[in-house]
Amino acid sequence: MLDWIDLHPYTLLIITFIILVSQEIIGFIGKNQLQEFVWLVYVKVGTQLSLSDSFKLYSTKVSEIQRLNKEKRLISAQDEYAKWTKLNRQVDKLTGEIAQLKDELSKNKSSINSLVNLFITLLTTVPLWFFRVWFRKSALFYLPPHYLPHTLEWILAIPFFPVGTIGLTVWIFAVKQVISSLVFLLTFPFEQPTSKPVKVEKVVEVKN
Amino acid sequence: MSESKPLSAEEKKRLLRERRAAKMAGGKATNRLNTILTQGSSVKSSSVTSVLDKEDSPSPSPSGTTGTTVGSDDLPTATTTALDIHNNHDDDPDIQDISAFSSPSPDPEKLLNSTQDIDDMFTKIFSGADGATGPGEDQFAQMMKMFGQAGAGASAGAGADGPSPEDFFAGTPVQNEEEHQYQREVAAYNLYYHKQWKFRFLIIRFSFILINFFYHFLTIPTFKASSYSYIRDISYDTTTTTSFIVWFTTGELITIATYFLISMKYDLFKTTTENSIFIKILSFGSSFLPQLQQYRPLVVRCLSYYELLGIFLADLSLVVVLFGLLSIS
Repeated sequence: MLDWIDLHPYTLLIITFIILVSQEIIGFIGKNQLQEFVWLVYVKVGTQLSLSDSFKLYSTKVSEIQRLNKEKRLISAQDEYAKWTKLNRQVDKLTGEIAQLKDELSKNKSSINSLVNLFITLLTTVPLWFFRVWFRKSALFYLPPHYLPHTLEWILAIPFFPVGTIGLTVWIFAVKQVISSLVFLLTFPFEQPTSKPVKVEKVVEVKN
Repeated sequence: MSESKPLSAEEKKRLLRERRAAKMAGGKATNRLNTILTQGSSVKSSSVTSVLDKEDSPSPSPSGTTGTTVGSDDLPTATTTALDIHNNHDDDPDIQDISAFSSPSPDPEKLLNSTQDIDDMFTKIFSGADGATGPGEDQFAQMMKMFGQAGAGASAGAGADGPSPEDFFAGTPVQNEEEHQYQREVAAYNLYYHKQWKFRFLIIRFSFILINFFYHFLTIPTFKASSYSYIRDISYDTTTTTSFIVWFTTGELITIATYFLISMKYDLFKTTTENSIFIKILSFGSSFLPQLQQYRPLVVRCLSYYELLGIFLADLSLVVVLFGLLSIS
């Protein structure tokens, strides 16, 4: 029944590699950035596809309040008091409505954020844990004999594999090490260089 | 009644003059004078008569009209009398809060109590919660002495000539802040310098490993991993199989030794050890058990060697990943 889960070792190896790379990329970009990006896409797509009336209404009201504010600035409150007051009332009413719509949209946003978090967890964390449990005794690949010392092969066979075998634990560790080194290699050249600080000695004048 | 906007200095002066004139016109100058002289106590021990109430004395008494100090000399009084006839505006005190004149407490009392207030303040600061004045005063005297010595020979509590305690209280946080800022900048620079060396060595290490691996991968057909276990049973010519590990070990020894020497020379390990959680735990524990400090050099050395071990593990991981990605067969 569960034969479909029995993956070829190389398939498992590649999937694990891709998941770990994705994990590193997500960590590098940042979860918050991803959430913001997904939210912007949702707003844009939602407005075009009219998924929710709130977006359209919100953008309409925002443009309306911008127009009213512009009109208010063009007239003098003292000369055209009645008109100015009318515009002001409209602006206040729209401000209240926009605040309400914002609350609604923020609830949508928090649900989008939760979805993104769930997606990231399902994509990166859950599969790894599943593989660690389900394939804990599966050998991913075998090293060619005599190329590495026996002691080294024994260490790499941790925890309970025959000498010369690489399991999922060692593979995940090795891939993480390599990916972090590569990330460091790629990001350090773009880091802002720091110059050596010079201590400023304060000269205190003694008044005689 | 509330003021809608702040008063200018001239307006304040004018208001004070008017109030004073109104008071003097209202009489009871003698009572007011006696209140000032008895310092507001309910027992009127003073029985002087104000010159305003004296009909045959044209010259006003300055002590009843101006806010001079109780213990002041005659010199300000004489000056005030001579000028008072010609220029009332010069008698006016400096700009003060109007509310100060509505309260019965006179200025001389405030001036007298100001030094006491400062003493109380310092006493409270240094004596703590129990409010003991004896130890507090001793501490205050010691602190003042310290400031005096620190202020290049000025006597303690000198006042105008020497540095005042306020100057030192004001200066210390600024100096501490500058020192902290400098330390932060130094830490940031050390971290960047350490990363720079790590970057250089990482390029060298990875380049060497990749060259070594792909040279053997391309020249030796048996130099490849496999998903199948049969590969472990194949016999190989050991003369060719050892070259990879020999080159790998040689490269590792050279790079790790060089990195160690450079790190010792430029004190690069300090960055790693300072940020290490073990050192932080040790420092925290030392506050309770000072004898833990004797293990600090050992922990620092172990952390340095751990960094070197990390270099070896990272290189070995690259070899394993390369074997794994090329194990398709």
